Amino acid sequence: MRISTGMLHASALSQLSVAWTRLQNLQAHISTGRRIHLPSDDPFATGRVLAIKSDLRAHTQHVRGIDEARQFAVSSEAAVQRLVDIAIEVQEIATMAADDSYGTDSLTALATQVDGLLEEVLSMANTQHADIRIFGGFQTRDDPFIATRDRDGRIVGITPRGEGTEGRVQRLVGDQLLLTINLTGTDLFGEGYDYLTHAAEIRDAALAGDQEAIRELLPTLEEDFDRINLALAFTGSTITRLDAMSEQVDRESLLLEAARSEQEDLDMARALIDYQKEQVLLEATLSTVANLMDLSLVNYL
Amino acid sequence: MQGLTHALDIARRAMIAQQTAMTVIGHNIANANSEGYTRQVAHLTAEVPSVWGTISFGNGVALESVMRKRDISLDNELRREMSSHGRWLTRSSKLKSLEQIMNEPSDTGLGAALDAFWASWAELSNSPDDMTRRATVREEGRILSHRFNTLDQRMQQMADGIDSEIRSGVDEFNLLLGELRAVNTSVREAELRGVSPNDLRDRQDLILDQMSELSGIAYGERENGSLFVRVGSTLVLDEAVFRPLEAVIHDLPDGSRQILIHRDRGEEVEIDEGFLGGLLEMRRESLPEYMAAIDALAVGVIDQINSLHSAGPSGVDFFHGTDASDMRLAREVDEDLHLINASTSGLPGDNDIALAMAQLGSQRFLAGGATSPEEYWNGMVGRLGVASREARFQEESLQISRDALDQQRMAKSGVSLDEEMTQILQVRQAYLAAVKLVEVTDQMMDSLMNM
Repeated sequence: MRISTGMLHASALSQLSVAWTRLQNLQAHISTGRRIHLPSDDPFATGRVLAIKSDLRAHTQHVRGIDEARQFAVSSEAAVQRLVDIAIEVQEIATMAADDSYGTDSLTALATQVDGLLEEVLSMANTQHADIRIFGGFQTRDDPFIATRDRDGRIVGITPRGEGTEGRVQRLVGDQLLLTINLTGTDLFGEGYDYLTHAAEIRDAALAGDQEAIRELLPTLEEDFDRINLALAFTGSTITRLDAMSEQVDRESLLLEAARSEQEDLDMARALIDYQKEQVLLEATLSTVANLMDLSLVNYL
Repeated sequence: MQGLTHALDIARRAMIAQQTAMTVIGHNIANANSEGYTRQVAHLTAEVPSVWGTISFGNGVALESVMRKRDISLDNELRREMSSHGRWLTRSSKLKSLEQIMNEPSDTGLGAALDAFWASWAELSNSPDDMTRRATVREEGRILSHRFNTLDQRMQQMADGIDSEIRSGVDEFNLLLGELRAVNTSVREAELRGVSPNDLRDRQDLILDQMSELSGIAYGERENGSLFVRVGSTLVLDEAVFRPLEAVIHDLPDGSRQILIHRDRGEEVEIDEGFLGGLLEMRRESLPEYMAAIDALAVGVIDQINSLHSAGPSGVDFFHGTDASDMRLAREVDEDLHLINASTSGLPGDNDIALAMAQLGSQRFLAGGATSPEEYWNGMVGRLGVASREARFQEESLQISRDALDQQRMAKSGVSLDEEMTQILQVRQAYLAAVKLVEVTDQMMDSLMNM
């Protein structure tokens, strides 16, 4: 084949350009540690990386949702636990008050105890967590329950403040996964918040010395206790569920991060070896090109 | 019978012929690095012999011609490759720019902005009454619309840049066309005088090369040596034809602008190869397709967000705008955080709208319910990646075949200094031999005179 002088130059230039391009590409990848800079570097992997990154961001959000929901559930559990304790105390007081051996003074003292517990129930019903009334449904800003009092200022029942106190609060804790996390007044105190009415009736019966009425109310108090206890079980199971979800999200995030890294990150050891190989090749090309360019019959004439 | 003077005459012709050959070698060496230069070869042949009776006497050497070493079919093949390569090189480079504009995969692209926007609603759903979270929703909404605006703006700038490149390319094509017309005239005149216009032919070839890179062309040669050129089906240059191209911006009914190539204020000229072909394809097809896809995403997001948001008590839209270019926060939302609807009831703890918003990212409400924003965006970036990769592969493969053809052409037409050096030696020896012939003949004549 005939080799013209221009061919030597063009060929050398092309070889050097290819060698420099490969070296520059490798250098860019090494400096960022990423295998994919542009979608065209690997379109399939880019699609995977984008989806994985989106999932990872969603997971971060789900973890926050789970954490906040858990804090809410933990606050609810503490408040409901206290309500369970109060319900037990009311039951104990009622059982004592139903005993014929208790005289009027004792009954009055027991009524005063019930009255105190009722005030505490009201306070519990309006419990706040991070400025949110946790048992107020959608009425989270102001106390959702207002006490109805008799002429002497004693609680006879509670009424909701406006609409939405029975609202179910949901939290986004997974992909398209909503979890109801709140308990409402009805969950805790029954339809019409009868639990407080029942306790008030015990108190009033004790004050009136009507032990028969107290005895009649005892089964109702048992039902009220069961309801509050069920609510406690709900908060407990919510926390357990959230903990399980949190672990699941953590596990998935780890797997996703591993998958992202596999698709997107550079195999640094291999890249560095490739870089050295390309560097040697470039040096060899430079050396041969320099040699070749110098060779000419002109030098021998 | 030939005399000694005839020998002197043969020596004279030989010296002249070798001098000419040396001149051609000198011309080749001088143009070894000239772009488009084709090596020339002096063709020396034996003069027509004289016949004396039955004997034929040679009359020495004659310079028959100085020819270019050129392979026309190789030229044609190479120019076709140059046109295709020009198109794919442009396409590859522009798609790469588009990839850079899309800025994916990254944590600052549109995908991340969409995710952050959905996440801000999820945060709000956890505490719908919280003003800080409402402010975050507003800020993420602002960032999202800004990201859409920027994408549209940069793509529009790219379109404007391509328009400008097309106009420059057309200007350059016209310059070449004008130059070719002038060279054609000179070639015709030279051919009429019977002169072989080798260097002018080189110029013609170089112009054809440059025109082929700019646009796919068809060309041919008339008998008088002048070239005609077609672009698409339009004859743009011939002996009596000179039709420069013109890039014209058209305003389309949908408000967008399109660039078309016309000939000399006449019919439209179709260019689908070369640098201009690649630019026109990007400007007319690929770029508008991606711009429309981003607009469709913006419109889908605006509509869906607004339809959910306006169901709340404030009744206002969340976003205003009709596409990616003018998407922005609704003024009411921008001015008053209380007008952000976290729920349809408006109650402080209700979060149904915020929850619905938070889940929009993976809900299929785009393209008639076929795809979610996440799938839509990822799919678009993936398609762009595939198109760009294909363009790069095509470009690289065409570059290889173009280089190979170029090497073949250089092997045929390029100057080899080593070859020219050997030619110098050959010519010098022939010249010195001719001089020696004169000397010897002179001595013979001296001897004859002194008898």
